[in-house]
Amino acid sequence: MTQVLLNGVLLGATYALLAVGYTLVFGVMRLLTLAHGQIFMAAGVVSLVITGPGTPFWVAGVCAVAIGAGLSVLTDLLCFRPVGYHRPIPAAVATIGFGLVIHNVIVQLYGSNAVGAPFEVPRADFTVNGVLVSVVQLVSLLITAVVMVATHLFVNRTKWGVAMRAFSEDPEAVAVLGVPTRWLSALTLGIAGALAGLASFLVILRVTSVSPSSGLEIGLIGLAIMTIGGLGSLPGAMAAGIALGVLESVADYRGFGFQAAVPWLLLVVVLLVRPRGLLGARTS
Amino acid sequence: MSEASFVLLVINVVAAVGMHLVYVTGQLNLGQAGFLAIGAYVTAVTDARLDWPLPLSLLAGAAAAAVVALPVAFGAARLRGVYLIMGTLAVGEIVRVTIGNLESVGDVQGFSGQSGIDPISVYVVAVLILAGALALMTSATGLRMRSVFDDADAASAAGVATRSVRVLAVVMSAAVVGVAGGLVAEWSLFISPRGFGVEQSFEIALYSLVGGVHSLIGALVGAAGITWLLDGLKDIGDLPFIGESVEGLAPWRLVIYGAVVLLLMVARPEGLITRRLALTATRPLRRGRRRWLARADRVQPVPATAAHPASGDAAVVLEVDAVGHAFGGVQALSGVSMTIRAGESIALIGANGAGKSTLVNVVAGLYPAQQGRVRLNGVEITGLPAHRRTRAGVARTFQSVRVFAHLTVEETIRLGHWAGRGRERESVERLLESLGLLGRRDALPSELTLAEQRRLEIGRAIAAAPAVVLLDEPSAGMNDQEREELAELIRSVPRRGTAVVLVDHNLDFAFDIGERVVVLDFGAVIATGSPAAVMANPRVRDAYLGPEAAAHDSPTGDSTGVPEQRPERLDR
Amino acid sequence: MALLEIDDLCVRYGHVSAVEGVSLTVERGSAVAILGRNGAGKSSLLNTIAGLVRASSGSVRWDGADITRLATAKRARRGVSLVPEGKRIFPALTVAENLRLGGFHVDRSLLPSAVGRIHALFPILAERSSQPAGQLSGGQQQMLAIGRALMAEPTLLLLDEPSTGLAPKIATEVYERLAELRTTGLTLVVVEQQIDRALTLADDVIVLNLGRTVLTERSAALSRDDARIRAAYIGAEATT
Repeated sequence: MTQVLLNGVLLGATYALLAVGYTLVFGVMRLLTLAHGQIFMAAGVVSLVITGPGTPFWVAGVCAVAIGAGLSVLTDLLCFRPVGYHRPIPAAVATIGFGLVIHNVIVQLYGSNAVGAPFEVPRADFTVNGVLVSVVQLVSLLITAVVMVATHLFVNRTKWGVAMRAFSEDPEAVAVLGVPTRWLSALTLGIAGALAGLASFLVILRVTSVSPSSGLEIGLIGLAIMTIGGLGSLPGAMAAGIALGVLESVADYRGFGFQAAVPWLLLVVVLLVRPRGLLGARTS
Repeated sequence: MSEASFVLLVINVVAAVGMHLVYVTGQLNLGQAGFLAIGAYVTAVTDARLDWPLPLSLLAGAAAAAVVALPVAFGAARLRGVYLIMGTLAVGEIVRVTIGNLESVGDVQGFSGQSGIDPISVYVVAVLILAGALALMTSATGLRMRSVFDDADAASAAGVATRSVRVLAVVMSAAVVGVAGGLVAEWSLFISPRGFGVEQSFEIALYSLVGGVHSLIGALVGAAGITWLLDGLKDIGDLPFIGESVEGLAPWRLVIYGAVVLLLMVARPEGLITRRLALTATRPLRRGRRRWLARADRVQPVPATAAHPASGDAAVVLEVDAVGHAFGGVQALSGVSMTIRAGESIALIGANGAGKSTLVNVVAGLYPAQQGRVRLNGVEITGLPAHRRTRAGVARTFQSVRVFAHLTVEETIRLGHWAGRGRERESVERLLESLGLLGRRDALPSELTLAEQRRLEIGRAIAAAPAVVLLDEPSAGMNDQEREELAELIRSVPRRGTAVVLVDHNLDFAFDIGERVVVLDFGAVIATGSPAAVMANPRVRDAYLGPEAAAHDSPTGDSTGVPEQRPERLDR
Repeated sequence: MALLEIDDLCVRYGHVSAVEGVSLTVERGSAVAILGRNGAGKSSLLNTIAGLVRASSGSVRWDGADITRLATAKRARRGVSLVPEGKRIFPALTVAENLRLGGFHVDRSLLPSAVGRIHALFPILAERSSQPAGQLSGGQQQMLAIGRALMAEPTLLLLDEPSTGLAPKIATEVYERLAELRTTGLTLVVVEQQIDRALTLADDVIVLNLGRTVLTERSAALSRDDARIRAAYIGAEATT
């Protein structure tokens, strides 16, 4: 059972990283980036493709983070900025289009089968109390934790973080103060994309491959988690991600056929209990 | 395009109609694939296993979808924005996974055994659905549905029961999408949960979002366009002239599809067919309908009540009785009482933050009265929600003009007019004329000046022939001439039998219209009486000028800034 | 050379003309008040100077350079600071964070002294430094908005109706601070509804009506009862 829980936490870490990305973009800019899942997938696939067999595995990680950040900033440049930050629905639809482009370019270039890692992921496993723990898993968890804390600190302690939080309340007033708001949106999306790239790399470490069709599914789960955790709340997204990972792992272990619906059932329950209708016209 | 592809296009059009029905109320349902699946599976099962005739199977599919949609609709009515989108997405996924777990219908392997359907029948069903949708959207119900998209509060103020409308839209939409599902099941002869996933939900939503949000035509164009794009791009190599050079594009058609969606959102955020475009395209149809409706309209002469000063004998129309309301610790209103008689014009004034707008909101039903009562024509309305009060006879306008961005001038007036059914009202034509908006009847609010928009909003309010209308700062932002014209319009309102309560910062304007003045300060009434008497009241002066000031501080919000002038100008 | 020169400025929203052919010169170190009734175009004029609104025609020159098409953020970095109408502080952020944002471009080492200056000017902000700005009273929020705008040591401070919504005593206090600030060489342009306050603070006055300039005068030559002010407010109407 502890094994199941551990796997669940790891799975949840992936979810959490994605959810934090969505939460940042939604919390700061009140926009949904529905290409996020595909960016997560693309970062993984491309990082595997461009690293040859001889490269150390962590290079793929750096690539994934960079590609994720880059594609995400592109989302800002190609979707949000041209459509306008004040038009959330058309902007979200534009990201759907962008996501389709990313997904299908990957499929055209690399096929729709899973892409395997060309490198060896070092295996250093040991057993604790009968539970198999791999160093890779531990390091993944550690990295995730560090990144989450860093993100939280960034948003709450640095001037850019303050600017981002202010932007979510009153974008015009932020511009009036001389803050370069264009950089703000690019920064927000860049961070979100980097987190998605990291999440993709962590998945690669666990299962040594990435499937081009995983983008949509995982992307949506990330969205669900963001909503469950409370839109705009980073700690909420993190906690909900971990919780969901554990729940799914347990459900899978128990042979619960409805495993795929777990995040959605959870979402419906949360919404029924706390509809927390959005105040303010920004997302309607 | 082959016949098979065309049939699928028609089925997609049916699904698009369903999408339009729900999104037109502002509810973006991203779980339509779930209803599609329910319709498909119920139709398939009743056909293959129970041997029902096809029409019955299709109806069963639609009914099943509608039944499942009912609880979803009630849940959705409480949600807004992203929560609504995610909630509907969740429903779609839950349905799909559930079906995928039902061994009785083939699990994830799929289901077959349907008897099939011929193209003509598909077309017949589609035409029937289209006709029904058209009839609905051009009716008063359709108008109410469309009003909810833009502004739920304004819709309530116009007498629309927004929650009921939203629930109805979700259920009707599900039924139609269910029919589309049934058609899919019968046409494809094999269905599996894979065909009813998020991609399908997204595609159905895109029909409206990309084709045109605010018109049925838009949804149709969206469905036809997207289906054709995805299908036609397969055969792009067959095109004459350019065929060969772009043949290599065919495998990339999904990329092109995504790019087209992106570009369209940049170029036309409202969708390809904007409201303005749809209006222009249907103008000849509207003219014909107008002629037909003019005969059906009750042409009422303007009620011949002479302008009479509010005498003590006139019936009491509105009673505000010791009303109180607090926001988070701040008592915005306390013990406010006032009486309004038929045909009266009252000016409600007070410094910034005195509680004027709060009082309007409480009387109109947008905020609950935490203390006290409100009575209309002797009947208590304290517990009624806003839209019921409008129908009962309390109308209001908003401080920032709130008209419906996607309804034309005429549609807005018609909406307001409908709220007064059961009462004698001036015809829509007559009202448009007296508002000076007859020539702008097909204009959208974005095409009107501020003054015209204000007149439109007032027109919407008085179209129902209410007993009393509450006007919240109608003159804000107007120049002198516009203000004079507005004053004329407002002065004509009591002549139609509607009492007026006017809230305004511009004292000249307010006193010009109001025969009696009520002054609020810090949520309480501090003076009532004639304009001259009230302005001479030292408490009122203090409220405006501040307790320590001698008369050299000009009152906040006073437009002329020269109070010495006041006493002279107020003697009428 | 004048610090700020506005030449034949026109601002139109669709077919509504908010500002029509207004010209104005502001000398370094002076204070100008923009007066007029509601809807006269005062806010539009100020917002155009700040860059929030785009001019339809005409020019805005800052220290000799044409900034008519320059973005708001860039103007702020050149020393033009706006205190918008309605304060527009960030309610969920603390007082300190609000100020921090005002000092976004200030060198980190200079931040403490900048904050110190603001605290000296408005002691209440020091007291409430770690409270969410939304919990401050209206007057305190106005002080925070002004303090925030002052963090970057602007050359020109634009204020849009700083006394609106404030109790008279508090508004007086705010104006006293503004007068104090003038002694440091700060140039002010203030949009104001309350004529007397404006006349006390400003050296020069410009009165707008329906988007047009109807009166420019040294404030010393004016008083509230002045017939010219009355006429400028009422415009073409006959005075009773």
